[in-house]
Amino acid sequence: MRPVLLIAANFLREQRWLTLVLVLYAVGLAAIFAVSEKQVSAEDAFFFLRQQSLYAPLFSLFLAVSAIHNERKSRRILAVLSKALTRRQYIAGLLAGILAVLGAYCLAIAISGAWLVRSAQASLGQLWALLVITAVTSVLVSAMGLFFSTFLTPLFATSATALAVALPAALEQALGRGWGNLLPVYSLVAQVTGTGLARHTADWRPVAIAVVETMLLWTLASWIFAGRDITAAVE
Amino acid sequence: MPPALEFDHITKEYRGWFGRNPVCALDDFSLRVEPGEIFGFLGPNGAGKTTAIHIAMGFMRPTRGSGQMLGQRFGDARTRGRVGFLAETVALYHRPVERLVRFYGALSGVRDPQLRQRAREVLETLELTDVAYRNAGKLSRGMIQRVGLAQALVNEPELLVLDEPTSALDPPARVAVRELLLALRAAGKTIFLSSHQLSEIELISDRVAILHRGRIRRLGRTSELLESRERLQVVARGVGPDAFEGAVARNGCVTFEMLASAQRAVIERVWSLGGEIVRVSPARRSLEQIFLEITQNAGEDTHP
Repeated sequence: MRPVLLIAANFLREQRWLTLVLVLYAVGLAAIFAVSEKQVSAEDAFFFLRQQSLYAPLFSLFLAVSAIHNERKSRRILAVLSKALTRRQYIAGLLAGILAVLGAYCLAIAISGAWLVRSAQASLGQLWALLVITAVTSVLVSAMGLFFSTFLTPLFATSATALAVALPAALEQALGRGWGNLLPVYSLVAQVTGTGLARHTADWRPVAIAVVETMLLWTLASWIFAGRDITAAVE
Repeated sequence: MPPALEFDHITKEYRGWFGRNPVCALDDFSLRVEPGEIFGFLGPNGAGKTTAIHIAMGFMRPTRGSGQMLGQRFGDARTRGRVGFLAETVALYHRPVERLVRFYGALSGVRDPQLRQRAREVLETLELTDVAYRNAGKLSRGMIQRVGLAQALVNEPELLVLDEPTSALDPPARVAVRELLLALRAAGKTIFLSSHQLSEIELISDRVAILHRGRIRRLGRTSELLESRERLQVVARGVGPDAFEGAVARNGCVTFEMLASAQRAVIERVWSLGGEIVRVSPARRSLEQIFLEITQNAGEDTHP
């Protein structure tokens, strides 16, 4: 567990400026929103939350697809993998690191979102469900991106992840409900976009599927990465 | 006692997409490195040295063959905790040197307070104490190489695998590293050293292997390799330097080399000229001469 935490902490440290920018962006945008509007409406507050929540999986995707590539290209990976850690732990560390960056961003959204929702004198009831769903979606997307990046370049890994996310959505449109849960990013995003004033209970089934699939993708990514030559040309 | 490092008939081929353009980096490569020795691993660029090292460290897999490091198969994570590795191109994170060394030590499984103490010790040994709190990304190439050595040593490794450890160092630092490696050998550590600094390898290695085009061309004890079996060096007195081809006069004697097969005829010639033989010994060649000989005869197989 210790090597995983060390890799994660190191990843967070390496991405500290990006993390800071994301946090400042979320908080700053909320502040601008609050200052520019005389009276923040509940609908506006939830619009802000939905918008920020949709960005999180995108940020996590870009972090994930470039994580291994950057380490290999800079050759920093050699000193790290020459130590007593397995490739499985390394991938887990990167995933945990991405989660830490996204955790900071989600926390910033939560604080600024709660502030806006309170300003609008609306209930915070759905905010926490929204954040949990956002975090799970981001982790699933980053696991997918990391999985594809073990054998594809960042550009192709991004495209492959986009396809993998889009396919269940297309199947759901074509074949009906249930198919979206195949890789439930679409189902989760649909819940985020549906969050608003109207009281509706979150569907936790896609969340559970996403957690299981994240574990599965991590295992697959570790297995593929363990068989890869890490010092061969990365371009 | 099991070898510290053993390559057993390893072949490594790099292939393009769909197996096209295969390049053989290692060709049925076998080697044993015994515990407690400094082993010099030589070869021109592209000979396969770094590929062999990366296979040993588990960074890549051989196409065929297998190997062991400290009694465990290549790539075993726990075994790497007993190994120190320095890559040819030292690339480290941009953070304060002392913290960086502790980070790598922690990844090797060393824990506080031993980790702090070890980090302090290696920084002192490598004369990095003055830059301990400076960002490694802002150091010169030579200093970064020293930090690279520090991270390789922080876990008190039983086996050190060093790929060009002194390439960016100035002469005093090279001497210091050389002395450090000799001290580590005296402490029972095994050192597998790949370098282009032939004079350095000559000075400190117990055994040497010369790799060319993925195959070992020479392997043996350094002292034996440096002594030529075919040529002898003769020191004679009472003859002029112009009597023998390539002879040099020094301190009242002449020194020249001859083929071992011509030994009797040459000695008789010295005597017939009224001279006397002072010494006949195997001619000593430099590692550089042997290296050039092997790499220039690239097409020929010159196995030991």
